[in-house]
Amino acid sequence: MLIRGIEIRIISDGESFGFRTPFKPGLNIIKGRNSSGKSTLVNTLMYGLGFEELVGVKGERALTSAVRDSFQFDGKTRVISQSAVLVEVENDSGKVVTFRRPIRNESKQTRLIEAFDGALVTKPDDAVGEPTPLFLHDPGAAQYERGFLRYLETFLDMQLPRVQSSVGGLTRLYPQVVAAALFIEQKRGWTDYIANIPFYQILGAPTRVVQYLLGLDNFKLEAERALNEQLINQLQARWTDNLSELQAALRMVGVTAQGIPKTLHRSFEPSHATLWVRIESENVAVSQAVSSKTEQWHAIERRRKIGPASATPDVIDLLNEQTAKLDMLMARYETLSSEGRLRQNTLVEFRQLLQQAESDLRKNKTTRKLHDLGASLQLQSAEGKCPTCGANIENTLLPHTDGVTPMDLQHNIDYLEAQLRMLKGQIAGLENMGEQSAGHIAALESEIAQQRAYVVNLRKNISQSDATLEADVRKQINLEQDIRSLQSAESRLSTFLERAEGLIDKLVGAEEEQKKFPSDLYSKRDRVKISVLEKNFRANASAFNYTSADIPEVQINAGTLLPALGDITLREVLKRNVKSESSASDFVRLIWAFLLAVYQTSSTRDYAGNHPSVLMFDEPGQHSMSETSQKALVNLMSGLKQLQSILAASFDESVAVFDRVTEGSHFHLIELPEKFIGPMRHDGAM
Amino acid sequence: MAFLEFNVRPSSVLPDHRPLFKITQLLLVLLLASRGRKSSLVRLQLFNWVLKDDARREKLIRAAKSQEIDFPAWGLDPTVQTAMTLAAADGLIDATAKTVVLTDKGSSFCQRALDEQLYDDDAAFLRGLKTSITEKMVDSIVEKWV
Repeated sequence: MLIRGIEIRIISDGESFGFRTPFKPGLNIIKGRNSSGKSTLVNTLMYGLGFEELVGVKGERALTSAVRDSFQFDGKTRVISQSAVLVEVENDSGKVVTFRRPIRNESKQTRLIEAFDGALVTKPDDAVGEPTPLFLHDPGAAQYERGFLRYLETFLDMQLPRVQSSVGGLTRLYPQVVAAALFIEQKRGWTDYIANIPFYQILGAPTRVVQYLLGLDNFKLEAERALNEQLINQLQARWTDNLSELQAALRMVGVTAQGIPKTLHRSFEPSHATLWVRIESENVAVSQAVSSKTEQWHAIERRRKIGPASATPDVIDLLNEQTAKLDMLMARYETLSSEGRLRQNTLVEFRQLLQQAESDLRKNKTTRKLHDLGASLQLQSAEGKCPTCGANIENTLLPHTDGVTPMDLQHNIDYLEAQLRMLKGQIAGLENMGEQSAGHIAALESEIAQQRAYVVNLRKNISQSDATLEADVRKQINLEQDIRSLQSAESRLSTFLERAEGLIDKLVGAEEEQKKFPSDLYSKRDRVKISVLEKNFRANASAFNYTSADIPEVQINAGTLLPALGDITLREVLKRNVKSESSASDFVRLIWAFLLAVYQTSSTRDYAGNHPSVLMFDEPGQHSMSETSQKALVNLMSGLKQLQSILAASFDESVAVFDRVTEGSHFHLIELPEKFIGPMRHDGAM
Repeated sequence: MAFLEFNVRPSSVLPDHRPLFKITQLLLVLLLASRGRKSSLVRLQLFNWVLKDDARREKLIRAAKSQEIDFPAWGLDPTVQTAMTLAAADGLIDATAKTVVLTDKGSSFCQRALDEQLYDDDAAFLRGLKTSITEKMVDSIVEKWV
């Protein structure tokens, strides 16, 4: 990508004002006094490319009033009636487009960016056709054809990968996010390696940007892994759906299933799944129940065919026997349901405990993170020391009690995690028992109903000579019903098992594939690139005179891809004794070294990455940076011929400093006057 | 002679009693829900008490809307005092006898914690309240305690 020029157009009281400058390949230096508007110029450039979020907000409010409301000219304040910015960009295949974006305009929204085919800034007389209207900051601006970001992505041939979102699932790595590593504005840009990443719910965004710029293979692998995970989750969800469908159907007929796990697992054997029904408070296998009930039916049938039994004393005995059986069933029902209520209460209690433990665990993890953050700010309390006297203090706010040692944070976290596991196990067990007993209760209810009808019937017919006849027929009907419902339960199970086999096959396939992914998702090539990045970074850091740590000890952490000492990302403060000023400017050196190293690595032959070869640094000489370091930076940038770099600086408003810092370097100088907005002819199209 | 030997096992600590957890939570109250990042200690006690329980949060949201606190008292927790003493010694706040003010160091520490998406729940609650719970509202209740 090459930025060929920028033009700011302003109309005030019918007169034309503005500013226009070309940019060249290689190093461009924007030099101007502190109040001349350097930052306004570079921020407007970012705005013209739709990247104003890097300055902090969306829309024209990101810009200073000098291009938006009013500016100073000739000792007077001029009110702006209309303004716009044009940025001319060339892509790697030599095609040139100019983007025009309104800043103050009554008829056009600032979300509108118009793209012209042609060099409107450097060759204003060339005929260009109608512009393509494009929209920014709409939902979908990055996806749809008419979205500006989509256009920019296609124009620059950026193949932005999908990355993991912090809210689960995948999201896109948006161009503005990548731009945060290319355009460094001065207010917050020098506070971290890639400081101004707009928030798009991307997990580990700086690392993602570096991975993309270096062109690492991990995105493909990660996308594949995410898809694989999604598939496994889908399979699990389908298993759960099928299982609950089966259980609902079984519960209706008072049957319970055993040997079917709650979650899909490859070890599941369909032949281990069995169906059980509760008959006279005993568990009987459904197949057995069906055959015994069939037998009973035939027995009654035979008795009926022999002839009516009319011995009344037998009937009375039968009535007594059946009434006793009804009483026993009722008692059993009472016991079961009171057990169920008790279990329900325990379950509620356990769930509350679980919630409490989860919240405690979250808080403890927060505290662990705070200890890391606190240590980097040198908080003594974060290191278990008294901030006043330096003595060790216990990690609790309660006063010390003899004989009681507070648990340290990590053990406390382990302890809570163990507690969580135990509670989850208990809850799952209780839920399981609850489900089974619900099945039993349902079975018992229907059994009681039948028994009651039977007893009532016996009583009614006790005076009749053929008293047992109707009761027998009733019993036969009941048996027929039971057999039918048990058989339907069996056929439900076999449908379930048929589907289960398909799911297990798919799960085994998905799990095999899961095993093939490398553990950290970096390929061999990626590892070479990371080591090249480390080499470049160290070389740059020593060229810029970084001193706060021993450079050979600084590594590029393979996890974060950021400079690190040991496992800790190297940031501002390192040693206790380093004065804060010097360490702050030292950190800025690291940021230069890192951003340039990412470009250098991406442009390595045979290991090329996706860096667009543009870098813009606004006022890199932060925190009274030494002249030697500034000179080294200018020198390095001017040596990278394939990189277009734009450097805006005041050079302490001194010609001598400027001469010393830029000595021996080649660059295109853009020198800003006292105030950079002045009279300028333009066609007034905004 | 038989010997009995006892090993002292460390005992679990309530997360609320971890110094850094409490300090940062109170700093967030100063940053997100206090005018001028400044608050009296008794007002901090109110927030500390409220943050412990969802029902209390509801109460405070009601109070913010009606601009009047409709409960007569809240718990005063000695750990708040200890936490603020540590925070002051670490330069995260400037403390006088009755009020505390967040320092720049304190707010940059808070900002880091927020960037890491710690305290999401608490922060959302405090952002919702903004500065609506004023010292005056707190005073009108405290006056009645004497």
